Amino acid sequence: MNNAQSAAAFEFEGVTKIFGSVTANSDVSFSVESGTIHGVVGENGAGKSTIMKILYGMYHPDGGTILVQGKPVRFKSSHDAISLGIGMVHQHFMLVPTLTVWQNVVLGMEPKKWNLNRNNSITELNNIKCQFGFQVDLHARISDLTVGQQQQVEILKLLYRKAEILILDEPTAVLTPQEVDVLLERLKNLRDLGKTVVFISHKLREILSFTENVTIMRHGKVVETLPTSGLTESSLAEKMVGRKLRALPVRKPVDTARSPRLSIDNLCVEKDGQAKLSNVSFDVRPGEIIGIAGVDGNGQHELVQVLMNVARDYEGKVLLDGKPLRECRTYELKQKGLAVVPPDRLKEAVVTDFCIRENYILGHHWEKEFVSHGTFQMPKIQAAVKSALETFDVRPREPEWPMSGLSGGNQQKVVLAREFARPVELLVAAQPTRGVDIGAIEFIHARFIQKRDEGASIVLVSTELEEILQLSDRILVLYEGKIQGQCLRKDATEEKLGLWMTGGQQ
Amino acid sequence: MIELLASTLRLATPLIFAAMGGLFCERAGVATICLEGVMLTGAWAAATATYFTQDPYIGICAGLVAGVLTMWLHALLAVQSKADAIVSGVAVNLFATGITPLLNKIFFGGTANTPSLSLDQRLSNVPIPGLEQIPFLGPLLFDQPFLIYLGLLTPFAVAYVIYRTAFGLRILAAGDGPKALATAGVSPTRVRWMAFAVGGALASLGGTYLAISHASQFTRDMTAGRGYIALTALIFGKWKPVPTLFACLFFGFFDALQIRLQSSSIGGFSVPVQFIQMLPYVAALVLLAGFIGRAEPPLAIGKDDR
Repeated sequence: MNNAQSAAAFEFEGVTKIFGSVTANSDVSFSVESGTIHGVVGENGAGKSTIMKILYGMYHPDGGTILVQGKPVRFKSSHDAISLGIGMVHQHFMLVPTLTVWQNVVLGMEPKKWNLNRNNSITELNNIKCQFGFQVDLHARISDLTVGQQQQVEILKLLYRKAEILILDEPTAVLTPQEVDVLLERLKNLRDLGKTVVFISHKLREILSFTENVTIMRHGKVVETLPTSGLTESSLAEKMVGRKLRALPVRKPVDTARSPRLSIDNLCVEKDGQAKLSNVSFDVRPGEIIGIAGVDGNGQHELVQVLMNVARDYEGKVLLDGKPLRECRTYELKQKGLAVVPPDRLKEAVVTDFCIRENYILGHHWEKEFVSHGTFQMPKIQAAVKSALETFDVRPREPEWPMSGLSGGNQQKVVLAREFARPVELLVAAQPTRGVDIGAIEFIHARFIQKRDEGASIVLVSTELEEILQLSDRILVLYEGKIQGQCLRKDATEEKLGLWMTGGQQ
Repeated sequence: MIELLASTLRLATPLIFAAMGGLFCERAGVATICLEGVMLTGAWAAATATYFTQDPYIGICAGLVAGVLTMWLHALLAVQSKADAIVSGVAVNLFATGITPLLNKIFFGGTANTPSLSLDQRLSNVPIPGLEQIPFLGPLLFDQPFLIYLGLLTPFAVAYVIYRTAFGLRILAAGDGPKALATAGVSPTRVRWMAFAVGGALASLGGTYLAISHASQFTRDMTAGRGYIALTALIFGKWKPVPTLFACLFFGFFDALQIRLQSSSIGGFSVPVQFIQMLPYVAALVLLAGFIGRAEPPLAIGKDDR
C-alpha cells in the first residue's frame, strides 16, 4: 500500500448531532482511508445512517469537524457534498418509477437544459456502464426493474455525478443472496478502480468478507474503528451489541406420536400456465418448526399465499386440524389460532400510515375486547397496546407513534406482538428477520422457540440458511416448486442444503 | 360540414389552452381543478385591458398576468402551504367567480359584463397565405384569429418541453417522484412554482380567447364549465399533450354539434334545447366511465408528502 492510498478520504472529528431530546451522534470520530471499503456496523438506531447523512450534507452537525481530503468542510445541502464527489445510496431508493433509467440518472444534472439530447447522455452513460461493468438497460422504465437493478441505477447515478466516495446505506437488506454477491463484486471492482466505499450494514458476514476496516457504533457513539482482518463474527457482534449474545434456549424434543396439525398433500399451484408448486406434501406437528429453505422465487411465495389463506386456487389438500383450509374464512382461522408473519412487512403486515395502536388491533378490530356497541374501547385498546409494547420491547413505547417512524426491527416486533396476542396454533412466518438488526433477530428467534415449546406448529420460510438451521426441527428445500430434499435438523449441513437449493441431488 | 369543423376548432381552442395549462400543473404533481377560475380572471383582465387600450395584444398580456397570478394563488395554498389541492382549487374557483364581477362593478359600474368591443378592437383574423385560397375550406379553416393556430401548435410545443427539456424532466419527476428529485438536488417546490407560472399563462389564454376573440366582451361566468371540460380532456388524454389535444377537439366537436342540433327536431317533435346542450357533458361522462380504460394520474397527486 503506498502513501497516496493510505491518505484519509474523509474524517470525522468529534461530530455531534442532536434531534430534539435525542442525541443521535455524540463525539463521533473516525477516518476512512481512500480507496478502501469501510464498513460501518451497529444496531438499528446506533446512529450509522445519521453520521453518513451528515457527511452527505443532509443533516448539519451540531458540533465537531468534518474533513474531506484533509480539508475541513461545511455543507449547506447535499448539493455541496455531491460537488465534492460524495454520493449516497439510500436504504429506500430515490428513483422516479415512471421515468427511464437514463432519465433518472441525469435528473438534476441534465447536460443541456433546452435540448435533452438522448444520444449524448446515452453515450456517456454507456461509457460509465462499460468502465464499471454494469448491466442495465438505459431505456427501461424503473418500475419494470428488479430491486437489484434499481440499486445499480442508484450507483450509476453516483458515478455519473463523478462521486469518489460512495456511501451505501444497508444496501443488501433488500437483495436476494445472488444479488448480494453481484453487488459485493461490483463494489470490490469500484474499490480497485480507486473509489472509496462506505458500507453501512448490520450483516456481519458481509462486513467480514469484504471490508478493509470497520467502525462499530453503539448508541450514537463509536465503539472502535479497526481493521477487519482478525475479527470474527462473534467478536464483532459482541462489540456491536455490547454484551455476549444469548444462546438459543434448549428445546423440548418433538413429540412424534402426536398427529399433525397442518397437513399438506400434493399441493399444486399454477400461475399463467406455469407450475409454481408441484406435488408438495408435508405435515407439521404441534410443537414443531418446519423450515422451508430455498433461493427466493422457487415457490415460497405461492406456498405462503396458500397458508395465509389468501390464494385459494390450487389443487391438492391443505388441512388444518383435519379441515380444508380454504373452506375457512380467514377471521375464523385467526380465532382458531392462525398467526401470520408475511414476507413483505410493509405491504402485507402493516399499514405504514397508521400508528402502532391501529396496526396492533388490525384484523382484531371487531373483537369484543376492543369494541362495544360499535365503538372502540380506547382505554382498553391503549392498555393492551402499552403492555404489548412493553413485553415485546418495542421502541419507542408510544402507541400513537406512526408505523413508518419505526425501524424495521421494531415494526416486526409490533407484527409479532399482534400475532402472538392470542394463543397460537399455527404460525406461518416468511422472512421474519429480513431487514432486522441482531438484537431484534435474537428476540424474534427466542419467541419462536418459546411458541414452539408451548405447542405451536410453525412453518418458517426463509432464504437465510443460518436462520433455518438455527430454528428448524425439520428442513425442506424448495427448488422450482418441488421439494428437492428434506431432512431432520441434526442431519442437515449447509453443503447439503446448498446442493438441494441449486437443484442438485444427493 | 366544413362549417361544423370550423366551429369545432373555435370551440376547442379555449379547451386546448386550459388543458395544456392544467397539464403543466398536474404533471408537476398537484391536482389543479382551478382552470375554470384561471380562465375567468384571464378573460376579464383581457377584455378590460383591451377596452381601455384599444389593443387586443395588450389585452392578451393582461390576461397572461392575471392567469399567472391566479394560478400562483393556487400555488401559494397547495404548493407552498401544502393545503389540500382540491380544496385550494375550489377556493380559487370561488375567488375568481367573486372577484371578476366585483372588479367589473368597480371599473364599469355593473357586475354583468364589460362594455363590448368593436370589431376592430377584437383579435382580427390572420389568413394563412396560400391555404386560405382553397375554395370553401380556405376561408373557414385558414382565416382565423392567430390564437386558434397557436392553440393547435401549443400541444406539440408542450410535448417538446415536457419530454425533451431539463425543465420538463424535472416537472415529470416532481409529479412522479418528488423525493427523488429533491435528493438529486432540485427543489420540487421551485419546479412546481415554475410549472404553475407556465400553466397559469396557458390556461389564461383560453379565457382571453373567449373574451376578445370568440366574443366581444367579458360576461359574468362566461367560461361556463369549460375549465372542467378541459380537465376531463386532460384525464381523457391520460395527461399526455397530443392525446389531450385530440380529446379537446372531440369535446369541441360535440359542442359544435350541440349548437347545430339546437334548432332541429326529431319527427316533428322538437327536442328541448336543454337536452341538446347536455351533449358534450354526456359525451364526457360516457367516455370517462367506459371507454378510456384506467387513467393513472401523476403519482404525487393527492399525496400529502408532496
